[in-house]
Amino acid sequence: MYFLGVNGFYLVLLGAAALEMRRHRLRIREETRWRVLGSQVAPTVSMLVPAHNEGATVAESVRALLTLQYPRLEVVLVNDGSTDETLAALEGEFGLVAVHPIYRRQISHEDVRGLYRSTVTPNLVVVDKENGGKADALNAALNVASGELVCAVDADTLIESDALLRMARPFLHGDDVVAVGGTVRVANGSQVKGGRVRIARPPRNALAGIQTVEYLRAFLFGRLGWNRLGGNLIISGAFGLFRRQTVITAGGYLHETVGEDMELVARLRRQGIEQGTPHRVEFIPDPVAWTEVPETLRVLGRQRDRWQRGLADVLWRFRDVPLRPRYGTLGLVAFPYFILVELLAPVIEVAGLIILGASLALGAVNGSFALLFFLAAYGFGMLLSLLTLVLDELSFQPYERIRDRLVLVPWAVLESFGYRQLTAYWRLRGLVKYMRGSSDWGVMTRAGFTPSQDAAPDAASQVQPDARAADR
Amino acid sequence: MRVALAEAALLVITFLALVGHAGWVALRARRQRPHLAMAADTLAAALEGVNPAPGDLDDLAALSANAQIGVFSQLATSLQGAQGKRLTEVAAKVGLVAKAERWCVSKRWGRRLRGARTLTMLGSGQGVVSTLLDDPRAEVRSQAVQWAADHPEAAPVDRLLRMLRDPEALCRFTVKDSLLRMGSTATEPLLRYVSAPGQAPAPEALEVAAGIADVRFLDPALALCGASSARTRALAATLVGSVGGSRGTEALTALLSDADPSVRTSAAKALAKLGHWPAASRLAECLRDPSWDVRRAAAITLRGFWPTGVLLLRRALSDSDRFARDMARQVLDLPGAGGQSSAQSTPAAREAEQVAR
Repeated sequence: MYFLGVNGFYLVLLGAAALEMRRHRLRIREETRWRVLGSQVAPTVSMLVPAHNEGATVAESVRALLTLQYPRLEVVLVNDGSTDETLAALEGEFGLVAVHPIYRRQISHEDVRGLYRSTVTPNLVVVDKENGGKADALNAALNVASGELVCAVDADTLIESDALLRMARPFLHGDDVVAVGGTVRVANGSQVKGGRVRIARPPRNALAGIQTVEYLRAFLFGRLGWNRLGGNLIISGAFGLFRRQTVITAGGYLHETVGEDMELVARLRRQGIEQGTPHRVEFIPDPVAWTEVPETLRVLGRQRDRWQRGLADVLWRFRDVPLRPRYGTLGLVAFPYFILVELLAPVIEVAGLIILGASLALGAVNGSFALLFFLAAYGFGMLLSLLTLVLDELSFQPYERIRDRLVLVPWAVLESFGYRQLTAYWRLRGLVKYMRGSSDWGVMTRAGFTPSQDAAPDAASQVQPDARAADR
Repeated sequence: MRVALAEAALLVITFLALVGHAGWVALRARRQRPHLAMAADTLAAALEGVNPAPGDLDDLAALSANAQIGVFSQLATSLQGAQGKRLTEVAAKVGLVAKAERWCVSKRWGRRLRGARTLTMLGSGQGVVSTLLDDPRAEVRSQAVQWAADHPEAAPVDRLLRMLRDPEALCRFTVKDSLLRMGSTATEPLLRYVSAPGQAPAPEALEVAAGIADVRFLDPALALCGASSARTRALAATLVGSVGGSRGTEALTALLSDADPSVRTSAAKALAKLGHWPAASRLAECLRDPSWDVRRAAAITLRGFWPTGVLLLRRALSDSDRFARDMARQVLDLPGAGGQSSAQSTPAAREAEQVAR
C-alpha cells in the first residue's frame, strides 16, 4: 500500500510539474528581460552573503555578484568571525572604508565589530561581526540590507548572470509572493571562470553524476510539481529570493536548527496563513545557480545525515500543522507527504530490505515474487529519473553537446543499485542521531573546481552552518 | 511479470524519446545554420537600403516561425527610426507580421502573448495589439502595455492610466514602467489624472509623477498633501520633493507634524532632496520623534544641511531625549559628517545600536 501510495503521488507530482513547466515556457517565450534591467521601478535587491574563512575565494565571489545583471542591486557580505584573511582580502580588493551602522536592529544577532562600504563599488556593504553561524550572519545582513527583496546566497554558489532578472519575475507577477526559489544545478565537471559557469558539462565522477540526476529530480519534478499543488516548503539555502520585510516580521532565520532554510519557508507560510497575510512561495525551473556536490561517500554521507536531521527538526517544530484543514494544502498534503515520504522513507526502505532478506532466507516469500517486486520498485524510480531528464531536455537543455545530455542516462540507471540504499542508510542514521539530540554540522570537504578552472574553493574548510550546502 | 514488462517498455520508450529529441534538435540546428546565416545577410542588406531579391525573401519566409523570430529579434532590439521601419517592412513581406497578428486573436493565451511580443519587437500590429489591453490574462495585458508605450497614437495614455488600478501586480508594474519610459508624452494626461476631482489617484500615478518630476505636478501634489489616506499623503510629499518650489517646502515642513510616521519620513526625505535648510530647526525637533524611521530621515537630512544641520546634530548630542542623542551620534559618526570615523564602534555608537533595537 505504501509503495503504491508513494509512487502514485510521485506520478501526480510529475504530471503537475509537466503542466507547470508548460505554463512557465509559455510565459517566458520571447520575453525581453532587458525591460526589467532598465526599469526605474524594479524592486531593489540585496544579496546577503555569509562568509566564514573564505579568504581564498571571497573577492572572486563578490566580484561575480557585483556583475550580476540587475538594475538596483546591493551586496551585503557578512564576515562571520573569520579567523583567516577574509576581511583583509575584501579591503584590498574593494577599498573598504568604515562607516557606522545606522540600521534598525530588528532581529537579534551577535555583535557587529564594524561596518564598511566599498569606495570602488558603493553598492557593496561589508558587515564584520562575531561568529554566530550562518543563520546569525543572515540575520545581521537582513538588518543592514536596504533592498525590498533579499537574496540569501552562499559565498561559493555560482550564479547565472541573469538569475536575479529571472527570480524577480514572480514578485512582479504577484503582491502575495513572499519567496522564490530556482533550480540549482551541479557544477562538478563544468568549466568555471570568474565565478561563473562558462561551459556546462556533466560530472565525470560517478557519485557526482548520480547526484546530478538526483538534483534534477528534486527540482524539476519535486519542487515544480509542488508549485502547481501549492505546497512548496523548501527554498535552497544556496540561492533564494525573499521579501525582506516579511522575513523580518517573521523574525528572520532561526539559529537552533540545521534546516534553517526549510524552517524559514515553513514559518513564512504558516504565519501568513494564520495572520491572513501574503504567503505564496514560488519556484521557477530556470537554472539560476550552480553548486559543487560531494565526490566522496564519507562527505556525502555526512551531508545526507545532516539534511535528514534538519528535516526531522523542522517537521517536529511544525508538528501542529499536519492534517489541520486550516492550513489548506500545506497541512493536508505537503506536511503529511514530507512526514510519510521524506522523513519515514528511509525507515520503511531499510526495514523492507531487511524483512525481505529475512523472509527469503526463511523461505516465507517466493523468490521470483521478491525479485519482481524489487525490479518494479527500482524500475519505477529509474522511470521517474528518466522522465525528469526528458522534462529537462524538452525545456532548458543546459548541456550543449548531445553526449553530455545522454551521459546522465547511465547515472539515472545506476542510482538504484547501491546509491539509493546507501542514502537510505545515511538518512536513517541522521534520523537516529536527531532522536538522540545531535545538532552538529560536521565537516564538509570540497574538492573544488579543477585547477584549470578558477574559483576553486578552499578544500577542506570548516563549513559554517552549511554554507556550501547544495540542496535537498 | 506483466508489471515488470510494462515498466521495461516504458523505460525504453522514455529513453528513445530522450535520444530522439536530442538528435532532432541537433539535426534541426545543423540544417538551419546556413539558412539562418543567409537570412541574417538578407536582413543586414535590407537595413542598408538594398531591396531583398524575391528569392532571398522566399528563403526567409520558408524558415520556421521560431527561426524567423530569432533572426529578427537579434536586430530589432537595437534598431529605431528608419532602420526599424525597414525591418518591419521585411517582416511584413515574409509574412511574420500577419502570422503574429493571427496569434493575437488566438483562443490560446500563450499564442496571444507570443503574438503581442512579436509585434512589440517588430513595432507593428496597430490594429490588433491595442485590443489586448482588455485581455483576460495578465501576461497578455502587460505585454500590450509595453507595446502601447511605443505607440501612444494607437493606445492613448489615458487608457494606460486606467490600468494603474489593474488587479494584477504585473500589469500595474508594467504600466508604471511604461509611463516612466514615455516621459514627457505621459505628462499631460497624467497631470489631468492626478488633478481630477473626486476619486483619489492610484498611488502608482504619484510614483510615476515623482519620476517624471514636471513642475506642473506641484498644485495637484499640494492638494493631495491633505488627502485622507496616509499613503497618498506620503507619496504626495515625495512628489512635492521632486518638484520643489517655496509653496512645496512650506507644505513639506507642515507635513513633518503629520499624524502618520510614513508621511513624516517622506516629508523629511523630500526636504533633504530640496536642500531646504531653513527647515533645519523643525527637523531637529524630529530627532525626538517616536518613530525610528522619522528620526533617521531627519538626522540624515540634517547632515546634508551642512554646516547648520551638523551644528544642530551636535547640539542634539546633549539632548535630554536619549533617542535623539543616539541618532545624532550615529549620523555624526558617518565619515564626512564632521564627526569621527573609525573601524571599531565607539561606545556611543554601540549604545546607539542598543537603543536602535
